[in-house]
Amino acid sequence: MRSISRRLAATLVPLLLCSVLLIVQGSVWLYDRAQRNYLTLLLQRETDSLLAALTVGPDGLFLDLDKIDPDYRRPYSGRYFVVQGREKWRSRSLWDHRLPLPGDGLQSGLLPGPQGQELLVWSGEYRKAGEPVTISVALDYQPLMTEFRRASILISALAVLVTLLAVLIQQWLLRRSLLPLRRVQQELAEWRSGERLHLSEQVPQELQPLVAEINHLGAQIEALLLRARNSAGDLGHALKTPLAVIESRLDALAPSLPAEQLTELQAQLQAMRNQLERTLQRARLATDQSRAQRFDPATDLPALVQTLASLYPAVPEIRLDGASDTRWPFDREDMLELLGNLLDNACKWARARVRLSWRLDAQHLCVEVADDGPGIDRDARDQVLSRGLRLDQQTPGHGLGLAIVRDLVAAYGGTLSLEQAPEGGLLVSISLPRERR
Amino acid sequence: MRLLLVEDNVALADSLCSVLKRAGYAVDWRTDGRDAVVLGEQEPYDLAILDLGLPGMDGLEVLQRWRAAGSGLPVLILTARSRWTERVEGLQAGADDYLTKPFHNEELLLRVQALLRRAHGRVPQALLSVAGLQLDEAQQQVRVGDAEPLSLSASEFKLLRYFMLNPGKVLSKTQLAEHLYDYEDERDSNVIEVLINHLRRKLGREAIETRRGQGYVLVGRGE
Repeated sequence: MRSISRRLAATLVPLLLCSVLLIVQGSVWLYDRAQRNYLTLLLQRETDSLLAALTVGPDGLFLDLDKIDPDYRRPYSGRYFVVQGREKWRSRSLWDHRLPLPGDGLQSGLLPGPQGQELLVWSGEYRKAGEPVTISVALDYQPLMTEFRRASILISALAVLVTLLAVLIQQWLLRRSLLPLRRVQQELAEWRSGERLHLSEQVPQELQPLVAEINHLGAQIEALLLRARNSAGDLGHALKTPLAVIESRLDALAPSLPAEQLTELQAQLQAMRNQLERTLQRARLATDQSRAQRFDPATDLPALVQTLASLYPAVPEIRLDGASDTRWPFDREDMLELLGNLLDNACKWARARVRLSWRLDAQHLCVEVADDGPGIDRDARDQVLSRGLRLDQQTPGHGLGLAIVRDLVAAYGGTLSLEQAPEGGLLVSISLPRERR
Repeated sequence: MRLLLVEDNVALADSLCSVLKRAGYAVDWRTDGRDAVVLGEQEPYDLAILDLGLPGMDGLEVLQRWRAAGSGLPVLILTARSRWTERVEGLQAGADDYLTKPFHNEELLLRVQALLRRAHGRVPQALLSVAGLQLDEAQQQVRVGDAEPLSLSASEFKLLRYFMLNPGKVLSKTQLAEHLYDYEDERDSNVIEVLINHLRRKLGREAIETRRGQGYVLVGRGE
């Protein structure tokens, strides 16, 4: 995956390093030039003083050693001269080294000197007392070179340090400026899990259009889903009543129809009913969708239990076992559908007792519905689950309810299992993950 | 037993009316929610079968109006709205039972029968047993003690069922007429007298007592 911060660092580091090193090298070079110019001036002046030290004696010119700098007498002192007239005088400091005597002016390069010294040499041609005189003066440039080298290493190290610092600051700034994005991402996750209905618009100006677009898209999806759900509901209503008419007419015709045909027609009608109910159910599922209303066990469960109590006056007790203080992080209608179908089934089969227990932890919601009815055989359980079979044709809707529950659980990415309840009947246990991947 | 059927689908209502009448109920049929509100408050119905998606006024609102006016009329909601949220809403609005479309005629009849018995304080059973009489509502037959079951005519069945759901109560002729005939039927109190005589002939003279100036009481076999 490409990373913005890595890419930024990858461009910033060479750029910074190159420019800093260029500046270091450039400034060293400039300083070196300035230094040489200045030293040339000094060397010129030195030539002048040497010229002055050439005294006119009885045998022509001679070099008055008293008049020259004592540095020229200490061997390898770093300051040297060669004066070439009729005679040739060399400074004592040269000892046995030969200083080449090139042409006029400053030598372009440094010349090798004694003991590895590097000499800056300046030569001039003069006339004194009618005699041509060539004077070369040299100065050891090595100490300055060493100094420059040390300085450039130091500055380069400093430059690397500065670059490192710049990269760190850049990463920090980047992270800081990406922080709102991370917040937006967090809000989107909350949105998906249904804890929020839109993204907050309190974001930096640069992110505003993005957030506005996302909110707009969300509203559009919401509207689409609402329309789909409504049209599914309308379709359901529109189909159910004619179906009811057909069923009612068929029931009335039952005595005059051959039994075979009647069964066939009834089976087809039943299939239509089931298919319609399941399709509607699937269209209405709202797993990923964030409707504001969460399931609140404190208010929704008693209402549901009361509803079942009036639908099944013969079942005396529906026991609730679980904490009612927190809302479930799932859509209210879906949960009512889930529990309604499960409890409806349980009440249909129970002799006297139905139990609903639930547990909500950090990852899952676990729900168990148990009854003390006849239960289902181990073999038949798989059939019920796999095909939504009706085991008892006398009790309408059994099997269909479980099929709806199975669809719902699948849509939520949960698991459903049928077991033997300690109460004696069927135990349906369901586990729904809080975060859907 | 007199029922109010509120259903806007004509074909379904037609079919339901004939099914219910065959089962011995007097049925008034309305399609508009606003009519239903008025009729439900004026007429002494024993039960209402109410669709929810109605023109004029939604079925739930009809029900809420009735309950707000203090009516205890047993109400069976018959609707295509099959979500549990909607069931909970319906029953919280004051309905006594909730049946979703499509449905089987027998199931509707069973639910109506059970609701009527519950409304009269009886536990739903296969047979309605009161005062030594056993009424089979499916076959429209009555059994006196351990004797052979006797067949009843449709009108006799209607009348006896009403008596058996109100045992020991004095029922006036007007009251009986109101609960046995629908809005359009001719109400002739002589017909009731004739029917009561028919019943006495089948069950025994003392089965139904006459309280002069008040009405009739079912005594049955005097248990």
